[in-house]
Amino acid sequence: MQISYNWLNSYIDIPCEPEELKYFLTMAGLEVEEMSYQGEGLDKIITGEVIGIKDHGNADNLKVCQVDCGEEERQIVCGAPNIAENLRVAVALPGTRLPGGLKIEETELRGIKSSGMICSADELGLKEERQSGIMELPEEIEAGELLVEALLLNDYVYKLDLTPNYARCLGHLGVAREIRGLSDNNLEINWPDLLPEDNGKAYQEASTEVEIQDPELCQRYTCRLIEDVEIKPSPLWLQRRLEAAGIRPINNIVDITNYVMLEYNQPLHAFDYDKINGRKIIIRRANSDERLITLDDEKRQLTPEVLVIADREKPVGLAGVMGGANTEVTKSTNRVLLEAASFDAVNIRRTAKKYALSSESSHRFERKIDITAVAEASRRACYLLERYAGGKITEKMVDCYPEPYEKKKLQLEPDRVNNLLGVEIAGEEMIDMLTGLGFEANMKEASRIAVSIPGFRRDVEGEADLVEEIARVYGYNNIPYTRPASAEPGGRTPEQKASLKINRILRGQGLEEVKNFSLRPEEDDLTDYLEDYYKNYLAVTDSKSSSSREDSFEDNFKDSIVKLKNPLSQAFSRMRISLLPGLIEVLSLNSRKQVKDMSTYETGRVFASQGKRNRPAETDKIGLASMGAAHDTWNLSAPDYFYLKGAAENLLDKLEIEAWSWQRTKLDIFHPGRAAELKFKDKRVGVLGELHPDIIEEFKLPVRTSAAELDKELIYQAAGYEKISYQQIPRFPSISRDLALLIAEDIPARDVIEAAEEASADILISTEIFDFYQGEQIPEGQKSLALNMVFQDHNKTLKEEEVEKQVDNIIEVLEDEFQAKIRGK
Amino acid sequence: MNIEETINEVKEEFQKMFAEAHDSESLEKIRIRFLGKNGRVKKLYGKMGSIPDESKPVLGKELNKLKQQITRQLEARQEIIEEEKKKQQLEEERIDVTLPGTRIKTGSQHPLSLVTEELEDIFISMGFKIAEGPEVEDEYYNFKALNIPEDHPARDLQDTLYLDDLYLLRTHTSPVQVRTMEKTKPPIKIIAPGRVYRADELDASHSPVFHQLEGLVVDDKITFGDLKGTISIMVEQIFGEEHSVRFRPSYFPFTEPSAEVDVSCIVCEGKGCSLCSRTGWLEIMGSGMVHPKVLSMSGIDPRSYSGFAFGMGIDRITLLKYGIDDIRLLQENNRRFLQQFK
Repeated sequence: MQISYNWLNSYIDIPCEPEELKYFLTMAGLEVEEMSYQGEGLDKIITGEVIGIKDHGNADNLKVCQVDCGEEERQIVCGAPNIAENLRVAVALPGTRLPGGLKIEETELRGIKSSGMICSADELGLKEERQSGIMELPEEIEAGELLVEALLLNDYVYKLDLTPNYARCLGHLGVAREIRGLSDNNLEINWPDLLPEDNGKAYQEASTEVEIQDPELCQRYTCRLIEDVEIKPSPLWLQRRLEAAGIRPINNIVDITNYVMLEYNQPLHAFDYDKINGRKIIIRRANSDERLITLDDEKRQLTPEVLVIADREKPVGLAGVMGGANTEVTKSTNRVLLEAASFDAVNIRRTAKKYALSSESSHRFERKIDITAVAEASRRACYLLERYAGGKITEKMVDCYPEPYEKKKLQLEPDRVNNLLGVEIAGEEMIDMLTGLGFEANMKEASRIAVSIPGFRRDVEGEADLVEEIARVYGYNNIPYTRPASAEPGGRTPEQKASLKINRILRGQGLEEVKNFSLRPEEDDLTDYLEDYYKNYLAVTDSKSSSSREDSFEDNFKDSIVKLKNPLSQAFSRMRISLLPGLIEVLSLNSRKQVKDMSTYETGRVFASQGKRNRPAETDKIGLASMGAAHDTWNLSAPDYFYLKGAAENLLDKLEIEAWSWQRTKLDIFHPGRAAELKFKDKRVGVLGELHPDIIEEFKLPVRTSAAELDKELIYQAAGYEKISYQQIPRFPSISRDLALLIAEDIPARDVIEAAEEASADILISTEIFDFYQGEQIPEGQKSLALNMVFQDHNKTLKEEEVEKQVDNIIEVLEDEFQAKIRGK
Repeated sequence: MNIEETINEVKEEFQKMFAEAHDSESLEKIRIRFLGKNGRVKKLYGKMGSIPDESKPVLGKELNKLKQQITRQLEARQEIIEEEKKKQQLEEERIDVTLPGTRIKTGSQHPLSLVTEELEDIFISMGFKIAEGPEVEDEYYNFKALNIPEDHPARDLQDTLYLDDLYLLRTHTSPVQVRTMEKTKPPIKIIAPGRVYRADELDASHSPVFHQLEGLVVDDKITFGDLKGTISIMVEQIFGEEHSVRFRPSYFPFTEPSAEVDVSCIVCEGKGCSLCSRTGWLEIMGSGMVHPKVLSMSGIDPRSYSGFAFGMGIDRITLLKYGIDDIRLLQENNRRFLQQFK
């Protein structure tokens, strides 16, 4: 909605300057999105009259004009084809600058002096497109005036961003009412002139019959015949005001209906009466075999959900949305039938949506108009039609209004209002506030105000709405700042704290946090790689887990992907099922931007369908990914794999998780020989692996790029860091022993450690592999592992013999179980 | 030969040699020559037997003095030499102290989670707890329970992404309000940060996926003034005390009265610039007193309790706080972007 300062000022003495009005309106809840001056850059342009024209002599297409500029005559050379004597024109005098930036100077054009320039509408910024000639001003304009005054461009326009509850401000009178209610000055509204009421003048009975077949969808319908209209352009002031409001002038009839709509927020429609069959208007649902060409020349297939205005034989308009082309007012129109009505908001909204046809009219009906002002708006239009279209009105208005609006009654307790706002306003003052806004308010009992809600405030449904009105008038910014008391301390839950801790630990491992969209393309190059991962890891629920997850995952991978019903684009058309694709893309993007090494993590939610009509599963995951890591601990050309594995192990350690283990796994997304699953006892918690070489190639990643995904909830459940209790620092020395062994290369290191730990008594407090070697001097199919074992007794100093005994035990077990050969023995 | 003379000779010889000895090895040689098993001093002691008894005490004393002097001198010089050596070694160990330090690789925190954590901490300090809810919601929680009826123009304010006829992606974090009220008796004091979705095309200022932080306080005697006080503290904390905040009437179906919260423009400080569309103010959140209908739908009696709620875009606050001009940077994950946040 666009509001004109001058227009508004014609109804109420605006108590502030244009710039302040912008603030006033915004603080009243009518947010001003933009404010502009209509005559921007035109303040120095004046009007002139061409009083003489001579040929230039030196140029065929130039004319030398004598222009009366009021106080003086000027000679101006002009090349426009439409220059003519007696024409009123816009003149830019030397020294002025046009809106486009061009500065006008006293000059000579092919030897002839020209002092000024006669302008075209586009040069003045009044038209977008290039004009073929100069701007021709209306004849009644005098020479020597300021153009902005002559053309009524000395006006400010406010573009309002109105929320749905400010529908009353979709008309200038509504805004005037707000100003009256919110201003400190005692302002009165200067209501527009109307056609006298029917009983004031002897009008004949109406010759048109109205039948509302569906009174729920049309609560009021009025129409009135206006004869002998003369179709012509509207007067300049009216055109200007429409333009200020952002509506293009068409002809006087259409303009007047729009003008009144912009005053009263009441959409109006004018039919060419002679195109209406049988002097009857029927408001009914359409039949499914009917069609209507609307004023925008679109052919609309109608259905019974759609309400139409029809004559005896055909629909002539989409009720409340747009008129039909078959009854359009044209140059030859002589009699018009003026419609002013009220339609059901929901039905209009559905129709406008159905046809993707949002009009000025539907926009207003959707937000409910003032049903009590329908007749007044019609009389206002009639008044203007008589004056500016030569219309003759001899008949009464037909007013079909089966159930007149009954003012809603509400009660307001001043104490409650004060308690809700944290202010102290007296009841009487509240009454004044509400009355100023147009409510009827009276003190009923000692502490109750009876308020009746006028038709233009149908947004007010209950007490809370009235509280807002009091707050608005009082001023939001006058309400004091206080703070609610806290009965309990604030804080995070243990799980939320753990979440922060996990993030901190991962960052401490050198991983950078990333955030990816949870919306993904319908099909991407990684989807197919996830199928076996989904089946074996994502869709598995553990009945033993205390998790509240339902286990009704889809069997079929493709069905498990949660798709959007109305995606905006293919790129964001389904939910992510894993964090891995996003992380792979992040590394790929950075790799392409010359980043050689990067390691990242993301904590985020993934989604999997649990069958139609069931809520999809939402699971929080931790994703890790690394490329280009430098340190290759085991010389296995797997730096990223072991970097991420180390980060994950540190995470488990810092969270005090016990009994975790890694086992080899095989998944399409990973290198077949370089992937592991993480297990807590027999629960699968996640996977870690080097990306499959095909993915690395496709995404232009550095070789050996690796990634992992872990289940955050399972990790949290297993975390024991909150229950840590202090262990006494050992007082007795420890004894360290190294052991180098040769074993078959397919025996996992983990098994060796486990066997060693099992074979030894409690005094073995740590077993670590510190070297791994394959190659020269090691037989084919074998590998060399170096184990460091630390022995310690908390109660005494260990003796060498005790340790030797343990080491012998371990050696024996390793020899038996793995046919290990102890090197150097 | 007179033993006294011999003592003097030895003394002189020692002094001569000592004067030229400037390293440990020479000193050691001298020590052996004079104090060693077969050294000159030892030999002099051997001769003690052959001198008259009456001279013995005097000569013995002399000899002892000589031995002591030699020892002292040797030791003193040895100490100096070692001191020198140490000094020289330290000198040689000089390094270029301006060479770069050894840095352990450290991760960075995404600006969105930095700001979220900061906001959480601000509200926690004011006694708030953190609530969470699902990102997939249904019509009831996302709209109906928040007093947003079907076929109401308020639905146009949020373009919704649907999964099917039943489920949709939450368009705001407000459903968490409802879920919290349903299962908690007042007093309630929570914030709910989370991811939300809208059917918006991705461009410099719009994103189909973004983040909000919702707040809800319900108790007896909660006022609009409490809302103002709480929010102004948050604004001061996150943007700095020099920024002013204003409240202006607005509309949200689930609050009444409703207020839009503006903060004075962080670039122009109210003078008007392109960031604030020349208004001098930046919209940062919606807020209001919880609509009585919303309270009663969630089982809280609006006659006994009142509350306020607010919701802000974490992405927007992040953009404003760091002066980021394109929302897409928040999901692009360019390392050169990520590493700027600490």
